[in-house]
Amino acid sequence: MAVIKYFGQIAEATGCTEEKISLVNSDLKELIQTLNEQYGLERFQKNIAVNQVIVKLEDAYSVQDTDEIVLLPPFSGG
Amino acid sequence: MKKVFIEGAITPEFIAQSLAKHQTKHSIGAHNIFLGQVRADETEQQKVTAIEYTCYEEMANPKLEAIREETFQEYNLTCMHIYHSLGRVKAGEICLFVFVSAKRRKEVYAATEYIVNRVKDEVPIFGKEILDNETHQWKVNH
Repeated sequence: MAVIKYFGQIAEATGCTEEKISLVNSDLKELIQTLNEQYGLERFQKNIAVNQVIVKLEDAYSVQDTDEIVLLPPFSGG
Repeated sequence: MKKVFIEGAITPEFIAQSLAKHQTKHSIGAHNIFLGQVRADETEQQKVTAIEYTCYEEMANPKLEAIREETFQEYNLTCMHIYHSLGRVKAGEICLFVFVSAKRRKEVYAATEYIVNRVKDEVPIFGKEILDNETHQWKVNH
């Protein structure tokens, strides 16, 4: 099961901070699009991290069962 | 790995103790400190009373470690410390403490700014600004 995590205003919109989804060889871009539609996340500026590394959605990526996919709003530390 | 995250505000006592710990290091000739304080910003008759910080620690810790290593490569420092709050920090309290030390002063100014900028830009920390009517808004870094 791939783990999907949400932070900040994105977690607020999804109503949860984490969920597990069973998907194999699913395209990352499509997954994000599905989540956008499901939770209305288009309005948020966000970064996507796969296994703790920020990725570009333009680069094709097949989500693996052990992946941790994280939707991060703009960083606002300090 | 160096511990960065502290639950709640960074107290003046903690800062003073950090400074005191360096008095046995006699190769140091200059310290520089940056302290980030929670500001009571006002928006449409609402005032920020606190910021509640969360972070994606699994990514934040390696990123902070990389910033630390790259800062040492870039600047000739004797030591450096970064502390950031998690959880609720009230207006007027300290949420970020960056402390660098070197033989001479020139290095410490530039290194401090380099570290603070990188922490703000690259570390996945999120600030939820609590307003005085208990609603909130999300902090935006400029």
